[in-house]
Amino acid sequence: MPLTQKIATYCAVVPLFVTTHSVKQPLFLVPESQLLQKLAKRDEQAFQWLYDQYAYVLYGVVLVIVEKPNTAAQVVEDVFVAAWADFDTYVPRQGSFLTWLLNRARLAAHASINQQEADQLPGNSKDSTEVDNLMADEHRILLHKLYFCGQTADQLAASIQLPPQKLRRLLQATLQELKHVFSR
Amino acid sequence: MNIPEYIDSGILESYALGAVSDQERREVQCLSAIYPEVRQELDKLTLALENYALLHSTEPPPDLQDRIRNRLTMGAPAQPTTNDEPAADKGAKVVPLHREVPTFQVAWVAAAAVGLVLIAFAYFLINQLKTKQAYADELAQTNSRIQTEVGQLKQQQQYNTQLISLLQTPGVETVRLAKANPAGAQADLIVYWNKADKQVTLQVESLPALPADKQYQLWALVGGKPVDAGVFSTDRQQLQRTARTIAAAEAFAVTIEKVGGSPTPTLSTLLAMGKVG
Repeated sequence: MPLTQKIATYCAVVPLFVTTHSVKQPLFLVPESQLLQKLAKRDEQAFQWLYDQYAYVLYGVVLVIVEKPNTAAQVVEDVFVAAWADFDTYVPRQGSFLTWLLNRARLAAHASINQQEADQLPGNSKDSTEVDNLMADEHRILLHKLYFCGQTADQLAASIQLPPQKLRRLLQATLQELKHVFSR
Repeated sequence: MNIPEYIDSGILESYALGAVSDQERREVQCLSAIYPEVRQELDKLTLALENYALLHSTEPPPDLQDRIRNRLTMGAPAQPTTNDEPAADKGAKVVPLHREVPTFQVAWVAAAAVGLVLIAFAYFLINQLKTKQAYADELAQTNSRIQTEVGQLKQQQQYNTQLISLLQTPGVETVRLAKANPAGAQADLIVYWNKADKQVTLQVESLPALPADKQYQLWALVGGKPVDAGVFSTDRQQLQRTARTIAAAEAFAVTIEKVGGSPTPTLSTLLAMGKVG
């Protein structure tokens, strides 16, 4: 644990000096722009690309939220089918396609579990070990709660007893740190 | 609105995490459409969140792909009118990204190729020019040589024509003069004496060269007395007609005299002699 803390501190401090770097693009075989063109046609290859590129990340995120592999598979299945049908409602101007898919998947995952189960989630125990080493503990737990536990900002503010303005500053620090982690 | 301050306010981070009110969400969407700086920062934040999500990637069950495929309808959606605008939007964004780079490169390659061709062509032209110049020089040399030869031939021709017409004239006496003193210098010349008009023409075949102040003089011997028949040069290129007329002669002789000639011959310098008939 001291080692983790040391790394976490290191990560929290060092990014201050690399603020000008841009965030790394996720590496995919097919650029998003090409995939979108293909998807407009809805052909077999479009689905192959879509599945190959995004199934792992969607399944992984949903699994963290719902915990059960069977439920996760079902949620991902529904998300793909719905996205396939609703693709025309995606507006590239408002964000990347992956973010659009992730948000849908998270919503669907949260909808599939009931609130009591969500509350019972132990917070950071299911987090990826890589992230463990990347960020300050406080920020990591906060991010996990927001991203995977479906907690709203208000719920979060209440649970950690912070005024909304302070919570906003905390979120800012968290996300800026995340940004710097992926800038390196 | 102060954009750097807005970006720094933390609202973009809250938006990316979904922790904003509806009003704030509309505000962020509106501003990010107007200000590229806002858009850029927002893109960076969402990219970071995507990377965060990607860290959690897990292999899905093997049958998931087929389960999904079985539920999908393949082929373009039936109502194209509703998605006309986004499709056009996508097209406008995507096409340049994939066309720009190759067109650029092709243009460069084409320009380089054209440049190479031009250089090669210029080199070829310069070589051609050099060859032609050498050829022209050679031609000029040949030309001047031929001109000289033609000049010589013309002179020769004139000489021959004169000689032939002289020989064809009736009454012309041909007198060959040979050296008078057996020990003297080589001296050969021919005198053509036209008895009708009394003209004397000389053809020099070989005579020793003279100093600048001396000249050859021809004498006609009439009754043993020498008569001045005029001075002449050693020019072998043309027939020489003397300035005096000779009415009668038994023989002709040549002496060396001072320039312009003498009234009486200097017998010690008698060089050549020949009898008429």
